[in-house]
Amino acid sequence: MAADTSLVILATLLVPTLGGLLVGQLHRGLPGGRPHTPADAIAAVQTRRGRLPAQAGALSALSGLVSLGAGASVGQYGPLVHLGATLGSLITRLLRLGRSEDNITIACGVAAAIAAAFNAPLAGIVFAHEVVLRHYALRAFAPVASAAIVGYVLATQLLAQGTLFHITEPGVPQPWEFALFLALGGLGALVAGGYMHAILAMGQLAKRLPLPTSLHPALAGALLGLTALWVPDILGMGQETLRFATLPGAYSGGELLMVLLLKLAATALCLGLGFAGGVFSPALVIGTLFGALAGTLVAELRGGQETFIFYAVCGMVAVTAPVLGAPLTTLLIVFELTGSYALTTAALASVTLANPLAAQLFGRSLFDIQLARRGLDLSAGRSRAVLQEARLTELISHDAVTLAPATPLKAAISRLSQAGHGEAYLVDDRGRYQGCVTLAGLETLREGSEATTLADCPETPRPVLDPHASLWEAMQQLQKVTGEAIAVVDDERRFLGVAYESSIARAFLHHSDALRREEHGAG
Amino acid sequence: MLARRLIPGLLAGLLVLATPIRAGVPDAADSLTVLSWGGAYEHAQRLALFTPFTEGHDIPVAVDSYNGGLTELRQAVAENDVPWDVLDMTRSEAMAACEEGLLEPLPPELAAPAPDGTPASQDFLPGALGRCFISHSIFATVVAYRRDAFPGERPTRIADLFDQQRFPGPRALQRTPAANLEWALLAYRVPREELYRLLSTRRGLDLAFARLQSIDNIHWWEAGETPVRLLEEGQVVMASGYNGRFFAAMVERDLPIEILWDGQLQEHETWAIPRGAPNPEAAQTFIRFATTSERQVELARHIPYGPTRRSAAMQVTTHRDSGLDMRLHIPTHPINAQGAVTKDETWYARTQERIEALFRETLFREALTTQE
Repeated sequence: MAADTSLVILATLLVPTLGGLLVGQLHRGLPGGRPHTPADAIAAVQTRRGRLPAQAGALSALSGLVSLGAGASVGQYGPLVHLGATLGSLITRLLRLGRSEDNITIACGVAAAIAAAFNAPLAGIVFAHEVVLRHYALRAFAPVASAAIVGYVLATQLLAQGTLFHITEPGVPQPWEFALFLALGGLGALVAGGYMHAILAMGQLAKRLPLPTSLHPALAGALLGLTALWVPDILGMGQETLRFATLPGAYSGGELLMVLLLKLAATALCLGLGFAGGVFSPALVIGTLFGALAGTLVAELRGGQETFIFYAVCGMVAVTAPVLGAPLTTLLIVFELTGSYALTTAALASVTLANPLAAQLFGRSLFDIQLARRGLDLSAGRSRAVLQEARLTELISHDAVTLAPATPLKAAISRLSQAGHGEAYLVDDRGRYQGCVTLAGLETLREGSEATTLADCPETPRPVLDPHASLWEAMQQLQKVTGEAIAVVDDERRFLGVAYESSIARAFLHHSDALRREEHGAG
Repeated sequence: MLARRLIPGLLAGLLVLATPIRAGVPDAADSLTVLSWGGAYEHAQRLALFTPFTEGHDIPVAVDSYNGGLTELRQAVAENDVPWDVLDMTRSEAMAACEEGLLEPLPPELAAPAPDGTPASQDFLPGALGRCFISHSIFATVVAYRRDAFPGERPTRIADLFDQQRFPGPRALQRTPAANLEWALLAYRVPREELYRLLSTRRGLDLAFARLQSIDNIHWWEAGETPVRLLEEGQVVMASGYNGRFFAAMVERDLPIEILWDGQLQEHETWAIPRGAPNPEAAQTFIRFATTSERQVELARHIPYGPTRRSAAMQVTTHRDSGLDMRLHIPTHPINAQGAVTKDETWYARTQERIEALFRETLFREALTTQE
């Protein structure tokens, strides 16, 4: 027994640490030095850029595997979803299909992964729509649904995988308990916010660590192992912890609170310091612990634990749904895993409050918050995201009249008339942009003032655009301009060309049209 | 050096010696030696299986009895002197013996199809057809209680075993982790599909031990007849035990006890052929005969063990002696099987020693005084 104990201690310390070391090395091969997550799949679809790189997908999946194997407090569904999305994107490239098809195959991969992982095809279909596609189009529905069915059938038949979550006959809650489930939803949103911000804050903190990034996961692993010697429940995906938390009396109230806080900290530590893995499974565990804590309190006050499982499940969805930004998916997972309509309706009460509250306070989901911090704001929907991602570069035209500031007024007017343009751009001999003049303005000057060269002209205030600006910014600037075009200048005000108002508008219409066809087209 | 040269010679000599003997005694191939468990069990097998087999196939059956365990088999195989043709073993021992290479692998098509033509692989319950064995019956470890102990209310769930407020009185439990750990976790409302996964964690074991320790006044039994006696003498009001023993006490001795089927722990009893059996062909013929639906149904008229074939379970009728409806007394009957747990023998094979050590250490340091 004694030899066993020291072996267990050694393994608890060494396995996460060495796993972290390996994960750190794997991530050196990834662009950005971080594992890719479902957020990358969402960004690819929302901006219609598609094309998830296969190598990064494979490396991310591998490092997810190592992280989970090493016992890091991370989830397995994130890597699975991203792997499914990458495979979907790969198929589009192999078949040489277009952008819209790329989005659909990514959604198919995601749906199949969820359907297979949870034995829940409906949840897979809804997750692909709710989280990844974020619109409902019939042309996407059929492929996504078929992918989910195939994933489900393979998982149940070929892998002979049983249900993840069994429930023995839940009781029937009292009508007034639904008010508690609703309140649990509100509190759960706050726990979800704490969880998301802990992960983000740890990521910020990691940047200030005096340690090479590739060693961060090893540090997290060592700290995790050390804590696990004391509270082993925080290790890994936590499926057993989740199961025990749904049993009345398996944990005392104090234990629930302690494991909840430590699990939250451990997950933030592991994800923030660079272990690869999902945020879903730990959220399930934290939510269940939170719900169980509420259930324990209620049982203390009223006596009797018949409806304990309801509190555990409501807590679970109240924390998980805001983190994923997926209330329907979470509900369907509860329904498909437990087959209990009573539990699903109780869970519905919780998400009803949890999701809107968390969206107001923190953001639609952890993925959205992460993407917003990387500069992709999805809060105003997909059309804006597409415009924000579309670059101005391809709209820059060199078909514009450029004049030196010293050009005489008369010569300028004749140049403009010959070229058939109404505007000219002043560029000095070092290539710097100096301003803009209009034919109408020059005519007025010639008749009524002393000015002889363009340099003497009063300036027409015009915004300029950066060549890396997005179509969205160009549209914003356009609202302040009446004229033909906006000058494009670089950081040192070197003149690069112009973006015509008409081509900006055309590009805008083009993108809107592509979106409309993708989202509302029938076939 | 000398030995190396001698052994092949010796073997050749033995072969020469053996051949004429075999050829000279042709009827040796036409008798069968079965190793079974003796007692009422063997008696039932004789009536339902051995005698009809001899009548139908003209092969006499000799029966040896044992109390389980692989020691004798291991020795017999090592010495290449196996006296038995067919073994009646628990599934866990059959699995272990198969791993060790003590048993002959059975041809996959050995078991006959159901009377309606359903192939054996679909007719038998999951896990009943092994590489070296075929399960023939299912018995259960159950809880029984004295009918007169709880006026007004009767235990209906396995959690009631631990509820001494509603069902006061001493309990008798087997002094093994098996069944007790499963029941303790079931009492926490752990779904039966997840029992062994949660028992694989330290928290799961601690919870189970805590639930067992919460019982006041446990008599720990070892011999299978003890719980029946303790119930009979009124020393305990609830006891765990084998369903066959409780049935016999109820039917033959008219004891006022009742079986609580919820949480019953089912185990398989199997037929197997030892490696080097004298008459492997007759052994296969016997196993095919004894595992037909018809024979399984007949056996269940003598002992309350569940058939392993679905087609047989549908046809179970009355007890030969008392005329009782046997369907209500076999573990696999749908009503009884609602809360049944199938013992995970692979899990026990992997963890047995550690779990048992932990069981003794946790429960018997302070429980020695109440031990029976």
